[in-house]
Amino acid sequence: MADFLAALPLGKPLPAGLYGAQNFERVALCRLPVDACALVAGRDVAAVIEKAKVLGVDLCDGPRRSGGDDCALIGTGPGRWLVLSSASGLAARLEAAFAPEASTFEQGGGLVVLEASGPTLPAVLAKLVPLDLATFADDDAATVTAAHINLTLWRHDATHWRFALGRSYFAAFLRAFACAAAEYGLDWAG
Amino acid sequence: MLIPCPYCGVRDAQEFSYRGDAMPVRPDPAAPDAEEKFHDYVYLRDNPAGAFKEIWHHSAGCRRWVEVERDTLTHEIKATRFSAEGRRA
Amino acid sequence: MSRLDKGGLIDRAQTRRFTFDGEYFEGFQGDTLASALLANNVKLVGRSFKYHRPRGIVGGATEEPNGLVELRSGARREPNTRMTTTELYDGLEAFSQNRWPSLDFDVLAINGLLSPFFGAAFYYKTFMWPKAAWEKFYEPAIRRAAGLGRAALEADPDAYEKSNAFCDVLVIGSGPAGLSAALAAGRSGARVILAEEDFEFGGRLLSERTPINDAAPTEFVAKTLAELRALPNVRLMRRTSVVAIYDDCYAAVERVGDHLRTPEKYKPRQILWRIAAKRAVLAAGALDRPIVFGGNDRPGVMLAAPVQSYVNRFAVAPAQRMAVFANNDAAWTTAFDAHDSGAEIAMLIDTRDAVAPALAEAAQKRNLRVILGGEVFATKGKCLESIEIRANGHTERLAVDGLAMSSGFSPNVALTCHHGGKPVWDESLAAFVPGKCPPGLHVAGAAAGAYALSDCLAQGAAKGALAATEAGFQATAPDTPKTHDTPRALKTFWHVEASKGMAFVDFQNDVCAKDIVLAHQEGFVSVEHLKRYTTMGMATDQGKLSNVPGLAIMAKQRGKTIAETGTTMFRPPWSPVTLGAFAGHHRGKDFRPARLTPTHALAEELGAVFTEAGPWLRAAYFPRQGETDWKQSVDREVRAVRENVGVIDVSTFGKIELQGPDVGKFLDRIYINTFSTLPVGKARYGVMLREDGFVMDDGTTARLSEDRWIMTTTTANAAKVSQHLDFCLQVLWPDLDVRAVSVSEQWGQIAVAGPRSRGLIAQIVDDPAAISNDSLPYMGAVETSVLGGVKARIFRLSFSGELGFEIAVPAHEAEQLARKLLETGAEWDVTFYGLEALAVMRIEKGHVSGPELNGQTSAADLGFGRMASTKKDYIGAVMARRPALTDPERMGFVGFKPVNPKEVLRAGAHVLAQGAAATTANDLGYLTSATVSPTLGGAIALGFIKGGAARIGEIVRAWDGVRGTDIPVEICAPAFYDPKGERLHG
Ligand SMILES: [Zn+2]
Repeated sequence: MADFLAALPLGKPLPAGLYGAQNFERVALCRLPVDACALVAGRDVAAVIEKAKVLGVDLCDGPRRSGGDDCALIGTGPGRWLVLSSASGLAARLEAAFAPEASTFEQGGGLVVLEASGPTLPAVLAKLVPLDLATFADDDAATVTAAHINLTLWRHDATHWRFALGRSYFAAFLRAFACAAAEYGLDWAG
Repeated sequence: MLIPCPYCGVRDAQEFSYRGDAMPVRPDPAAPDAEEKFHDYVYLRDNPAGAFKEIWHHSAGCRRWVEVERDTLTHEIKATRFSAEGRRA
Repeated sequence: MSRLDKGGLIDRAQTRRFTFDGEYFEGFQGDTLASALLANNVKLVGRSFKYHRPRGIVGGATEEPNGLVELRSGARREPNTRMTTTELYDGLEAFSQNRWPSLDFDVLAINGLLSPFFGAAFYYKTFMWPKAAWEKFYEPAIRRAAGLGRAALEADPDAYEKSNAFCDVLVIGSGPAGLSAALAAGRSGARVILAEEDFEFGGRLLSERTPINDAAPTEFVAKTLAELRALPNVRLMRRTSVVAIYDDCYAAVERVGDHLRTPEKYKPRQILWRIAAKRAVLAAGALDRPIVFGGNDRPGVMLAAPVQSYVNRFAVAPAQRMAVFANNDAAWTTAFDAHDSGAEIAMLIDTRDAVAPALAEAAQKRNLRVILGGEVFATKGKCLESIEIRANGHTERLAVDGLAMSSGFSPNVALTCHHGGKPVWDESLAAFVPGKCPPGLHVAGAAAGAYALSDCLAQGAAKGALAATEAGFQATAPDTPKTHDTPRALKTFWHVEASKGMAFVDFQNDVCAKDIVLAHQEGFVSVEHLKRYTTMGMATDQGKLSNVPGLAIMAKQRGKTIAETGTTMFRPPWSPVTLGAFAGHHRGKDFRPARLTPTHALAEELGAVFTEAGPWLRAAYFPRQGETDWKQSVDREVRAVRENVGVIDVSTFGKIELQGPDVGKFLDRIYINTFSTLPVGKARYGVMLREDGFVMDDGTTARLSEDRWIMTTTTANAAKVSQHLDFCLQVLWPDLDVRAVSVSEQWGQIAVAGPRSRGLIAQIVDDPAAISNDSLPYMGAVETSVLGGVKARIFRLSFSGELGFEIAVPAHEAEQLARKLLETGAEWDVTFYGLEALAVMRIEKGHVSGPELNGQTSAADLGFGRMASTKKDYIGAVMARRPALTDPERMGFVGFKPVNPKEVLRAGAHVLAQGAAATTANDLGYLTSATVSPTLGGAIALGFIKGGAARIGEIVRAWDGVRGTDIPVEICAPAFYDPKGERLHG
């Protein structure tokens, strides 16, 4: 098992493939191509929530995801959201919608968003995240450290969890995740 | 030890960085005795055995400075709030 | 064979082969190493710590002091493993410890004959003088003689993990109380974790025969487990020791692979669990205790309750012919069970003058010989051959090869003390019972001093229901099953004072009754002093057996009660934890996560040698073919930048983007210099202080538009500065409208420096006019695009001192940018350079960096005094004005070069005046950074000296006591290269 980590590359993200036990209960992990921004409210958070309605989003100022895949706003702190979008041009859209009550900061180049699923995922996540994830409802989010790596995670739906983390930690996170998932097996789609 | 963050919910103390006594207020730098006041502000910290108001930074979470009312003998936490709010309460 | 013909919870169909000291044995599935050895008549299992006395198995579980082995071999060799908790597996290898040349014949057993000289604190008293001999002779000799097992010499090949669990009710222990508690809580719907240290659930029920609901106790266990398993909200964890209670969390070790020859593929050996439980029920049971009498350590002398376990659970008669020596009824049950199983019980010796008639009848019914008011005062044999008994003025020698002893039970209260609670002495039980417990912890059954089976079942159910109710569930205690209780009466008895031979209190550390008497005579009377002076209770068993008898003997010496003298503190862990479990997978290269720069893969392709810079892996230098040492590569890289063009990834700098109407005002309060006046499109170097007036960090901040700014911090201080800004904005000045976000990950930043840098960048920037000297002068900043539409921010900055640019692009584009620079610059021999070359160049330029920003230097010390604004308040402004920080005699930032240009300087050297002795009083300063400059052709250094720049031109000495050098140096200005900065403006 210690050999398991020794065999993984240290200086680059894990190549796509199957890792660990060959098991039907294995965990699936894939990377999602998304654009990302940070949205930070000024002193009037209520005004920002009001403006979000124009986008059709019932924005929550808490550790939750609001909105959908086109524009998902995940609370990372009071008056702060990580905004993800499957469409491009996110910064300009947010700027147009929220300035000047909130400021937009581009993060698409520095964030990696991953999605994990599988029957044994709760046991894998228990090794990484010191939170009671069983109490999370869909869209509940948390900004936390996993294996000393800062990330924001949220429950996407009943079976899928997503993580957003800094690009510089991507390789290290994959190592930690693969190690935690090894006993059940990992199907890493890259 | 678990600290209930007003934003994130109950989290392990390891996610927080400790600063200490929440009571000192940054003095007026224009005051005639500013140097003395700043000396007290920078260096004098209470460290009671018992009820204490202190501030912690939720550095691995929401990045808010949180004021924590903690009993330093039992680690029982009575209340937490965002730091700036507490100062103005 | 001592294996009984029938009974036990072993699976006789599954033979398990193992070796002990190379000899081959067989046991069964369900055995421990201890029970399997006893079944094979192996009694001598180890040598004692100090006297090398022969020792045998004493206990039955985690309390075992003697039966310690080296388990496995090679890299998996694990010393001091208790054979009583070692589950037997096929191919198990175990080796006895602390003997030479063999267990049977141990040369150092002579220590036993010398025992009069080896009393309490023997080491402290004997090896005092001469002092130098301690390290050279005494300590190595003692360590050889008094070792326990040997650790493996190779790295542990197995994996360990850490995991988190959450529940409403944690139940610790699965005996009658634990099972009942889990059932009561589980039926309410509460999330329950039942943790059992053993590999089977059931606790004492596995070792006793008292029927529950008219059936064997194991049937009650099976039925209860079946119901618990069917509850989705209940998690059963066996082989799991709850070892500590911390604030709001419990720590447990799950031994996933310890019962296997090697862990299953992809599985860890152990998992360290952090369990957050709203409530917990401690049902950890109680442990039997020894009686202190002459020769009580002879192999064959065992505790009574474990003997009952060996007989009932493992179907082993630990001896052919046994006696029982006790002060309580429970030991009689052991005698009865052993007798009923076909083992021979030769005599029952009780220190009490009378026992309950029913008990006497039960013995009589079995034809057992009973001696009341008797005591065992001596034993004989390497392994037990006979005991000597004294009663009613007569003595008798009895030939036995086994003796079960008991001075009563100690509830396992250790966990209740982990928050500082002290256990309370209960005279009627002659035991410590839980005192003030950690919040949320309830204690049930034998752990609370309620030994009777019916009490265990009832208390467990009640406490389980209470815990679930407190956790917010509607719980009721289930009906207590029908059972009857075995007698438990006891009369305090600890020590046969008129003994022959050594009477042991602590078997593992070889502490005798006389050592406690000696400690008392010499004034070490407090229980904590007693422990340190005699080492009683300090071994791997942590005094589980020795603590109470030892305290009793001390109390008697002092003429006090145990209640008055108290007990030592129980600290985590309850049982030993492998260090690997604390590390989890964070070992070796995974000690902490490595951060990779956006161009890491390219640097690897270019053959970079990497270095750790905080969490980052950064290219230190890029050796080329033919270069034989790192300095050759670094010198070449420096020359390339100075003469041509070089490229380096500087993405590791902290980058914080600030937006909002009040950013200028905010930066004025953060930096010593003014930023609100900075025009759009310009960058400025800034220095920020801590509130105590010392420098915290430096960096450049650029204004990209009216209310959008980008701040850079040093790599090392990125997190600290970010936290500082949070504090200022949230706590000090929440009225300022500033929105700050770390964009360190977002922007990959590539520095291009050297006389030909502009020419190179012109090839990749979409609008070359954007980087002309007019549109992008020194300290300019522009938002533009590169590589045909990639958004870029270009800053005209230089750390190297050459014409330089830093190009920031979204991090995922940075590798592409670097590759393009490499490809485009091929015709000019563009050079990728690393951290080492950068360090050389910044020393040549006299730029401060980490070694100078060391937390003890003020802005004035570093030569930034004139930068500090006097017209505004900023963090640290007031405190920086303190007399000590403005003293002209303070150490100021200067350069140094050796008088003899061939000498090499090293950071860390102290500066002394010529002729001055190397004393603290004569210390003038120190060197912080040093290099041999390829540009200037000699050694140069930066550092601090009292009086600072005023002393330029003086000759002093760089004295290095660590490396033994003393070099005359000239104080000079820190900027060795291009002091006027003409090259920057090229
Ligand atoms: Zn928080």
